[in-house]
Amino acid sequence: MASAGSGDEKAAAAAMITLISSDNEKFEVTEATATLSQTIRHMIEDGCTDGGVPLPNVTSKILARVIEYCKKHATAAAGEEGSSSSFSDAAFLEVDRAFLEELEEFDDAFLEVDRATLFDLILAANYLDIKGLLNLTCQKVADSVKGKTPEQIREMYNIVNDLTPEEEAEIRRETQWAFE
Amino acid sequence: MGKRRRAAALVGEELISPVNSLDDGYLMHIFSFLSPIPDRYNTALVCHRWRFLACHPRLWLRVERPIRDVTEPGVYPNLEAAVSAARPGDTILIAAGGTHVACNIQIKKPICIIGGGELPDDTVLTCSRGSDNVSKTLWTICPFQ
Repeated sequence: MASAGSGDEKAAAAAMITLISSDNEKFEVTEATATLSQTIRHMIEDGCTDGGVPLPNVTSKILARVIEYCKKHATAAAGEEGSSSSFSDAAFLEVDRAFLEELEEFDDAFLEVDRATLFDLILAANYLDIKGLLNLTCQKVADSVKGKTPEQIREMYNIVNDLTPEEEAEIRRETQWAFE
Repeated sequence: MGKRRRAAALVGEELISPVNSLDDGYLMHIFSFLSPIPDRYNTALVCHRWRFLACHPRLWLRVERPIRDVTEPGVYPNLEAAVSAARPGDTILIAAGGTHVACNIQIKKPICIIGGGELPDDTVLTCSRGSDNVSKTLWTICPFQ
């Protein structure tokens, strides 16, 4: 299903890429969506996406979420480019802000997942090299730790404290000045 | 991959925590989003692995007067060297004691600079236009990008 060579730009914009999850589910996405992933972008550049891109590290459940993210952010990127020429500066800024707000709302809603899914998203974002998604998900984990005591963090993430009281005291002593 | 991890979680006790099944690189990336004080210090108190990663020289650069000609990784003789070596999001700790000359330093990346010492005057930055003490103030510098 290679696109015909007429009107190169249009064909490229509409070109579809098939992504295949670890459990063999196929997802058809536009090239603009797929190329948010640097990994896939490089595959496309090397011309090795015919017959689909197998992603043995990503399950269909996670891939569906990743694609949802990429679609939204690809649209936002395209919208920004398209609008820049047809609006005056002030109007453009207005549109820009609305876009960013909408995107932020999308990201917030996107991150409403359980922890296991969040960690799977981090792994997938890293494997697919989607910087925005990796930062978004890592920031979410960082936010969950913010303002918590070590004890609360351990409880939240089910971590066993393997520091001896002496070691703990040492860390506290080293950093005492910072808390005073 | 997800399946393998979940299987591992049932086997090893310390692997029960999914956050600790993430590789070191991921955890350090997560820690890099935390403010050094108090959040990154609190993560250092969670367990051995977190302490190692949260205190890893990659996340902290130190400016110290060289006592001898020994170079330690992550330790710089002056602020200028530390700033140029820092990557965006890094934290630079300036050792207490004395005055550090900070002339002509251009910071074009978001970095955090913290001064050590008991009193504000323990760490002083001087530059040609006057001086600033940096102890206990957290400078989060986010220049225009």
